[in-house]
Order: sequence, then C-alpha cells, then structure tokens
Amino acid sequence: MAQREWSIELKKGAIQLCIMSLLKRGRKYGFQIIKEMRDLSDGYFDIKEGTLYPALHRLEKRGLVVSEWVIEGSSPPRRYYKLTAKGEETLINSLKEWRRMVKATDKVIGGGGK
Amino acid sequence: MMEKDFLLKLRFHTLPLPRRIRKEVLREIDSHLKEARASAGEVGVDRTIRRFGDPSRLALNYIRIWGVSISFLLFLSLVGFVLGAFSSPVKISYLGYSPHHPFPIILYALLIILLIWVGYRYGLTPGVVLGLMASIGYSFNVILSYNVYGEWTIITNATILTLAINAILLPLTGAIVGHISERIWELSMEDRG
Repeated sequence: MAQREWSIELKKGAIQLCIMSLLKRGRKYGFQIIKEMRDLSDGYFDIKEGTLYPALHRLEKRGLVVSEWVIEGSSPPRRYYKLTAKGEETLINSLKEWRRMVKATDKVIGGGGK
Repeated sequence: MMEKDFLLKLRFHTLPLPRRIRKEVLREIDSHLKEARASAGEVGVDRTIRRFGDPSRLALNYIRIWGVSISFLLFLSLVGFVLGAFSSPVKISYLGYSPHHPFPIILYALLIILLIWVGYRYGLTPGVVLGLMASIGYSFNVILSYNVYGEWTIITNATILTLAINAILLPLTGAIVGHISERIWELSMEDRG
C-alpha cells in the first residue's frame, strides 16, 4: 500500500507534462492519449479517463490547448486536442524545469547513496 | 454500473454546467465509450465506466473548471429568496402573530444546510448568490408580514439587529464555505499535476 501511494505521488507531477508532450507531436483525442501514454511508458502511465478529461479541459480553459470535433469515416465523432502557441511555450519552460529537477534530484539521491 | 445508468447520472449531475460545455462533455464521453466498445466490446465499456469513476465526482470536476450556468444561478437565487423570506428565526410575524408556527425555524435550518452544501459542492459564486438572495428574502420578510397581516409589525432593535446579522451572515457563510471548498479542490488538482 505504501509503495502504491509513493508511486502515485511520483506520477502526479508528470501527468500534465506527458499529456502536453504527446500533443506536441500532433493533435490527439482522449482514447488515443490514454493508449499512447500507456504504450510509450510500457504500462507505467495508465491514466484513467476520469483524470484525463478534466485535465484536458483544464488545459483548454487555460488556453494551452484547443479542441475540435472531427468525423472520420465510420468512426464515432472524435474531439481532437492540440497545443496552442501558449501551450508550446509553457511546455518548453515546463520541460526545462522538469530536467533541472530530475538532474538536481539525481545529484541528491546519488550523493545520499555514497 | 451499467452504461445507461452511468450516462443518466452524468447527465443529471452536469445540469449546473453552461449548456454548451455540458453538451461537449456528454458528447465527448459518449464518443469515448463508443471507442471502448469498438476496441474491446462490452467488457471494454464496463471497464471504461469504472475508470471514469463516480459520475457525481466527475461532473463536479467539470463544474469547478467551467463554473455554473446563469440559469442555475437564477434557480439558486429563487430558492434562496423563497427560503430566506419564509425562514426568519425571530420572524416578526413569528414572534408577534404566530408563535406556535414551527416552519420558519425548520426552513432556516434547511437554508443553512443548503447554503453550506451549495458552497461546498459548487464553490464561491453559487454560495454567495444563494446567501445573498436568502438575505434579501429574509429582509423582505418585513414587507411579507405586512402583506399577510395587513399592518406594519413593530420593528424592535432586536429585529433590526437580527436582520442586519443575517444580511451579513448568510452571504458570508456561502462565501467562506465556497472559498474553502474551491481552495481544497485547487490543491487536490495541483497534487494531480
């Protein structure tokens, strides 16, 4: 139980960054985001629908993503999300911050292990 | 929970949302369930519904992001006004003309419970609107008692004090509960990243 809680804590900060990074590669819809995130992380990020959609709406409200409905062939109508210019800028800054944090954390963990 | 049951509950709980947002939310979730069905059949739909979680909680997340509709605020205004108008605890008519009438006290208790619930569930704006309209209704009680009994009741200092306290207390309660609730939600969202 403690291990699971610890894992959730670690994932919390990364989810928004992962969603925005996926959207940087091109427009995507919710079902696709969940699947790609799970596949790319080898099952580590199995984001639930009840978490993903409100997160996407929050990003939309902040003007970091925009959405549009697309009907393709016989598939159900899909709501595609894509990053805005503001979203791309935020992602770049967030990634810089993330890398700084990982680097700093590694140094501390490494130092602590010596 | 079955798909039909889930969507029915979600439709109900998203009623306070602005109409356009609600339509988009329901359409998006419906579309997702269709994708799940096409991908893994009915088992996939059941699993997806479980992953969406409680429809009430899900709807609340959307409400906290997009806020509530004007029509929902108007509805709260009406409820607040009516409950406020009929629920003065030291109601002028209650003390002077109908001392055995229990309804004002019951309604007042109901109003406070509703105020806390609305502030807790929907946040600052709905809480303040309900409280403000309740305080207006509460003050309007003086006029109401005139209409009912055909003469102006005696306004004592205690009455004025009670009116003044409630005029501040009711909207303030909605505001405080709403603000705390919004802050808790924001913190939980920050935690989720």
